[in-house]
Amino acid sequence: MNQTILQRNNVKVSGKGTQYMIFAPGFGCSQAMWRMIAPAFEEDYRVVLFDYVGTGNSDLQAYSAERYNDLSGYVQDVLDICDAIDAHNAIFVGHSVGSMIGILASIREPKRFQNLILMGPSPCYENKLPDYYGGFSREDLAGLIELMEKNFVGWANYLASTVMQNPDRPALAAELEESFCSIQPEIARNFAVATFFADNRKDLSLVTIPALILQSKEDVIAPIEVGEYMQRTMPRSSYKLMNATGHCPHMSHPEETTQLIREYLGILILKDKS
Amino acid sequence: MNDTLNRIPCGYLSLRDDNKISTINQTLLDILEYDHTALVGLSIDFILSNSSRIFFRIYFTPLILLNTKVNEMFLTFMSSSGEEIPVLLNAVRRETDGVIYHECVVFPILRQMEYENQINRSETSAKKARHELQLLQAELEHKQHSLSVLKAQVELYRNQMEELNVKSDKR
Repeated sequence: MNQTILQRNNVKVSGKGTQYMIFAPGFGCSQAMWRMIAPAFEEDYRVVLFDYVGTGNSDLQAYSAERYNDLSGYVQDVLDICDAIDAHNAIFVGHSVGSMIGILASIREPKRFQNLILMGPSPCYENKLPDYYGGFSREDLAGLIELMEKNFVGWANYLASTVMQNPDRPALAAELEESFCSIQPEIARNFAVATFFADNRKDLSLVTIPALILQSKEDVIAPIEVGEYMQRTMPRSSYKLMNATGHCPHMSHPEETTQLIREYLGILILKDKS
Repeated sequence: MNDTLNRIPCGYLSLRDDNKISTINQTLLDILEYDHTALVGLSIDFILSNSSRIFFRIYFTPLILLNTKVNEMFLTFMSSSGEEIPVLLNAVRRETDGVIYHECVVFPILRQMEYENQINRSETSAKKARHELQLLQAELEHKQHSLSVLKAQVELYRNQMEELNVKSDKR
């Protein structure tokens, strides 16, 4: 394994299976967001968690605004990890923009993946009326970037000053490391622009890997219209409307999410009956 | 809700697990210009600006579920008349009688925002002024350089003149 990549992306491999199951977080969050569902797959898979460069506990020195100014840098992160762990026919589970990153990775290196499981994916957040409803106007998205700047500047300063003022309290530092959404304002801004102003609609028809779209109800970020559009446009895709509501079913409704992934993968081994 | 909480001088809002509004105090209703019955049962999305809706969904859910609290989240609320109200929001996830609530306090920061906007404007004009100053300094340096070139030339001519004078004197 390529230790440099594994450290750069803070890759954690666990579980008893032989097939890899790679979990890709959504915008700006770290691998901590998988902690409610990933352990459920450790019995049957080799679970792979990671942070994109610039997020979580990745190596910040490896960040370059040039590489990560659009999604292709993040796609390359996933492919680098696949190469480092020698993944073939892996199950890829992505949340939000993580889904889109997985889709693009699968187009570039299909042999790495067997299935894609996509939670709340969207190929384009901006409305392109009358042909396409993404959910948001350009002004909404520009407002989001501004809102992020206001929030992140405060968070970043707070985190930095708290750590500096308490060098003798490692527990506090550990807790701050747990602040899985902490991200440098400049990195957050670039990632947000790469995510929310992307238009990957043309790529959907190029996907050759079978995919499951998990669509939750009342998802403001990726509305039902978008999930249905993805299913219509992606060959070999299935679509499941969840009972779960909101944009983070893997956190708010982990049981249903786990169950649907298991059903799709056909590993509902009926352990209770055996 | 008791009267103290209802009239306390900051907004109070409790959400169910699915972020639908469970209770909301009078202070916040006054700020938002809504009646109690109009908002209870609706998603918090209803009182958020479009941009804040996305932000809320990206960050509120992970933070409240994994950390059980949210501190100083900056959001923009929308009043019934469409006015934007910048707020800071703190929240905790708490179980009461077996039901999960996200209890939020909401603090409007109109003046603070005005202040921050002023600072931003000042910073922008300071940046512009610095840039202009740099241009002027560069121009000044350029002119000083030209001047020193000219001085050197004058010096050269003077020397040549002196040499010529000396030569003519000798003749």
